[in-house]
Amino acid sequence: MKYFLRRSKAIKDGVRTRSMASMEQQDQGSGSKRKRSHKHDQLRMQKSKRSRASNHENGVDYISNMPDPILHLILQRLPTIEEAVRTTILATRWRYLGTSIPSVDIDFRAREKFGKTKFRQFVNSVLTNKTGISLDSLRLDCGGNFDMTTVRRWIKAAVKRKVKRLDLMFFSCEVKCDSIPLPDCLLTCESLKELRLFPYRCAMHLPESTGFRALRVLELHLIYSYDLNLVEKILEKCPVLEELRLIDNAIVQVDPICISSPKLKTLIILYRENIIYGHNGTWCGVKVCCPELVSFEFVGHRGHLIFENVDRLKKAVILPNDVMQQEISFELGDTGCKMLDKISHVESLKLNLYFIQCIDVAGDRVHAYFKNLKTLEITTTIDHFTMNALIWILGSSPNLESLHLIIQEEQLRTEYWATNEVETWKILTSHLKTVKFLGFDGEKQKCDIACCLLEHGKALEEMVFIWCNTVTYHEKAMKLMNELSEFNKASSSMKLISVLKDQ
Amino acid sequence: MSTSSSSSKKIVLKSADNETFEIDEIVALESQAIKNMIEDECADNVIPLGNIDSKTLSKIIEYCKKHAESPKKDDNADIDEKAVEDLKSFDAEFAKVDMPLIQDILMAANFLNIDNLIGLMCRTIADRIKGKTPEEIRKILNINKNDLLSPEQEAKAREENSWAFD
Repeated sequence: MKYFLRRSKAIKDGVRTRSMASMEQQDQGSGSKRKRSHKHDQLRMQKSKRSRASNHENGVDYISNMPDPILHLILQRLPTIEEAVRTTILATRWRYLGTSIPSVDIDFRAREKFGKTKFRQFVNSVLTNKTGISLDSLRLDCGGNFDMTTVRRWIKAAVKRKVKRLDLMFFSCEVKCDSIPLPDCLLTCESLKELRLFPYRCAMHLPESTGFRALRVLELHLIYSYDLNLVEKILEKCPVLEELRLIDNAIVQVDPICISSPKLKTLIILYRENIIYGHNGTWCGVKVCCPELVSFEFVGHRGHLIFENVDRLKKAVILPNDVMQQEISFELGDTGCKMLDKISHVESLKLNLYFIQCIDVAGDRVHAYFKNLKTLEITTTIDHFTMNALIWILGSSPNLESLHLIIQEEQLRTEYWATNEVETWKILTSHLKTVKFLGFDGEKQKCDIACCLLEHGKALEEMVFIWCNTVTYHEKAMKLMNELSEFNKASSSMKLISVLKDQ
Repeated sequence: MSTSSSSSKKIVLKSADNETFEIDEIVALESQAIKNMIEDECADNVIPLGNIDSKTLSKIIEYCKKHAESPKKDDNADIDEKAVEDLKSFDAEFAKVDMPLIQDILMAANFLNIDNLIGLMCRTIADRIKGKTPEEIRKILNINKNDLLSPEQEAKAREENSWAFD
């Protein structure tokens, strides 16, 4: 009771609570002028309420007057949840704060010394508190240490506290081969906006219930599924999904995984691990049909990426596994170039040597024209065939402003870059404003390339060297900058920049 | 207050003890509350801050100036690590003040809705109470003796959360 009194006193004293702040923000969108100026009056009214200095001398406890969200912020910054929970005996104001923190991280491995019984008490006390304060985010990583009944109970407790973001890492240790059904309460949870599932390569399947009505962000990480077309089935249940991340899953598929979602804006597919996919052990590919998609990222197998209706796409990162010098068939080359053609309207593109090889193989049959492309990042080697392909891309990108180069060491032969063909240099340098060298370490060949670009780049505004090694950065960066600044440049107003970035 | 460019728009803040501070609008925009007022066009004249004294207000302006000058963390811009480090050491230095002032800054930052500063002050308070006994924390936070739990209440809290007290 005292606790509530304190809160209302705090508001009367002119301490603006977080909830008031958010109410005001809501007003902003719809509120009338009159309503808004009222807010101003509120600021005025608080003038000359009390003299603060004398209160310090009297030993006034301001922290206890702060609203709950502020005290939770303090508690969340303590090193452990234990320490936060121990504040429950500080004073009446603190009695239930430590057990109602809205953002909770529960990791069994970090608390192995607890043993299972104590860990259970710990989870119960931070999840099932009595204040009714809702849970903003919960990360629960309990590995295979608890049976599914327990894990389901915890998920239920989080759902009951109206959890918004859930990050669940668990697997069932009881039955090895059976597929775990996703708990029903997760699907029907009306508050859930973000869900990340990481079941350590356990098989999972969907229950029949409809759901994920409010889900905006979904990540499936290391899920195995014997359920045919798991992703399609999940997507059908997520009417408002905006971001989907599929990472290293193994899902039984016969056809390409079809990602079709009306509101999806971001799609990330990473298959970094060497897992066997698909029905007969081959990679089936992905078909993307998302009219609102803005950003697409793919790292993984070579082969089919089918784009249908991605008109709004602005940014694409496509990095198929590129195995150096591995032959690319005509068919694969054609597939790669068709893929580029379908996304040729993007503004930002990140590609690797695989596409350079595709373009090289496809030769005259490439049609893509990157009319909107402003930023291109490309990982490549520099030799005769890559130069031709790179120059073709640059030549097909009339509005390119920024070129980011990651030059692989193998086969770095500058003589192919320092070509004298006038036409080539015109293409390379007529519209480029920024050139960045990523993963730069002061290598002689890359410096030579930089010099060539400085010599010819009439439109260049800046050249950025992003160093990855602290030692060489301190040794060489200053010297190199001095050398390059004295170099006779085609564009006199350009800037040279060195940046150290730990990778 | 010193000014970086004379042409930019100025905002005048007035503290509880009637001291006025003229700052660049860009600095004032660090406060979401003032930003809202400017957007709502009710910040034409002097903005009275009746619950913030001049000592606290000048600290807050110092913070906002530094943060307004620093490059913002954009998604793909290459931010110089030096600038990030610089801001970090500024924050660390800024927080080296006594507890009453930290509490005043936190209250004012909450009122003015300056997220980064709220975070910094909360972190600072957490750093000062971490690893301390309840008695030490009560002293640091100046918790009133009348607000303590009764022995029965404390026993109950310990029992409910026994895992945390072992």
